[in-house]
Amino acid sequence: MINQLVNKYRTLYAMLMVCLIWLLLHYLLQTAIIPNPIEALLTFFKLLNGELLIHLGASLLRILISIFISITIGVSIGLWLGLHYRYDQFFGPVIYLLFPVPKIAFLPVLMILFGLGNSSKIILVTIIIIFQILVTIRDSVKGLSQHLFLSIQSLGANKWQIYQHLVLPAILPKLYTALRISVGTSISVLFFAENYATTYGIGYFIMDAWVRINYLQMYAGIIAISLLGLFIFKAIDFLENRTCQWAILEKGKNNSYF
Amino acid sequence: MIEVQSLSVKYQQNTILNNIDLTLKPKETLAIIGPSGCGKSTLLYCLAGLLKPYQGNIHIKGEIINKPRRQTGVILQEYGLFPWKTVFQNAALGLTLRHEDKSKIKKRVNDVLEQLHIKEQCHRYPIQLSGGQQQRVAIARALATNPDLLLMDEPFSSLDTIVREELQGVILDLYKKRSLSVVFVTHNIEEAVFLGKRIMIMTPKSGRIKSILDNPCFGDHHIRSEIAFHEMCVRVREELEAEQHDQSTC
Repeated sequence: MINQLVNKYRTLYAMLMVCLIWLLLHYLLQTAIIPNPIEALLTFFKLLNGELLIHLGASLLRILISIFISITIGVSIGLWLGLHYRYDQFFGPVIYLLFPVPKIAFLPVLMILFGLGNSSKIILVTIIIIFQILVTIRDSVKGLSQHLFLSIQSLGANKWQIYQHLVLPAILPKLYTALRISVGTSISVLFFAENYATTYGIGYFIMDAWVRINYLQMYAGIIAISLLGLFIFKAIDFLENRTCQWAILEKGKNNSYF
Repeated sequence: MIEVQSLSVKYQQNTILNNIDLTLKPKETLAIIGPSGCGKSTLLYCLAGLLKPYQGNIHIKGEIINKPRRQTGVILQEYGLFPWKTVFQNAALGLTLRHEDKSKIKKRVNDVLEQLHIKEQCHRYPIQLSGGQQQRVAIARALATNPDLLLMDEPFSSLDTIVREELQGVILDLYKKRSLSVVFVTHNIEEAVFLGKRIMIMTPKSGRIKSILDNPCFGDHHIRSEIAFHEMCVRVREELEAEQHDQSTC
């Protein structure tokens, strides 16, 4: 009974749980840096009509552009390397070396090269999440069974049809997984990047509130950025449900051994 | 139907097939049997046009085989079904790739799904099916394009005996109803004797044909309980084991 209810309203349930823990901490620690969650929520809703929405929109736009660029380039290169071993031999080791480099440290370089505006922030997020997408796609293409390729060839498929009926549908669920990870990363990176040389963006809003010791506003910003992430996650879930029924069935089949 | 002359395949110094000659008449079935690594799957891939660099000649109905042939249906190991396609979409794939019109695809695929008793499952995904059902879909996909030649690579090896024999019966039925030639690879002696009008035994390792037996037991659904069937199985077994014995003595 309770299991069913939780399952049905799981997002709402999670929100309630988080607020409960927050409230507990508020009463336990008795410090101004952890305000009452109810007050923070009220501030959030009050600000949502005005400036908060503009900051949120600026951040969302930056994330969406970064994701779009990363998918376009990351998927193309990932497919190319995954399907052509001889090129992967040359580029694979370089990618492996660059992947763990903390690209966030290059923000000053990017700001000098691409200016203080949106471009440097978008490029920073892009060069971080593009690796996650590229590597996931490349490895999932490599992992495809040879039998599937032979089967579709025996049915007379040309190169484009192999992409359309085999490669692209096969990588789609992996792409969604990579996207979820990328969104999480891109939000935290953007938060960092928006602390510098900008007056728009949720990262700026939060740090600005902190400097002004307006903790309620700071928390309103944190709520906003969290909801932004949740919104993008839900959008990815929605797309996956619509386009990858089979993968969800597969996941369900391997679930709960205990 | 099939004309193979001095076919050899080498892969990195290793000879996988060595000077194979083979002919198959229309409406005939051929079982290729031999131990693992004898090159039997490679031979099938060559016939399917999936393996290009070979020496010698392969002609099917006068056509040189260097790419997959339109009129050949192929069933590979592990079924080769696409998990993201429903049963219907899987079975229809061959026709879809040929840009046949929708109504024709629908009719042809529904007919063949019905013939294989899998039509009720047509909106489900492969993961929701049993192994035997998946194999039926793979057969449906190969037959939907109306082939005159069916190639199968160890088609029933992962199924339990009851389902395997049931599907062997299905193949025999289809063979009788359609004008179909069948070549299949197996390591199961009973399967070879049940479904192979001729049985080709391959030598281990060296990639040659040991012998080709004519099989009088072929074509009867109820042959499995007859003495003649078991005698034929014993003959094939002796032929296979004799080869292994030769190998170990030299």
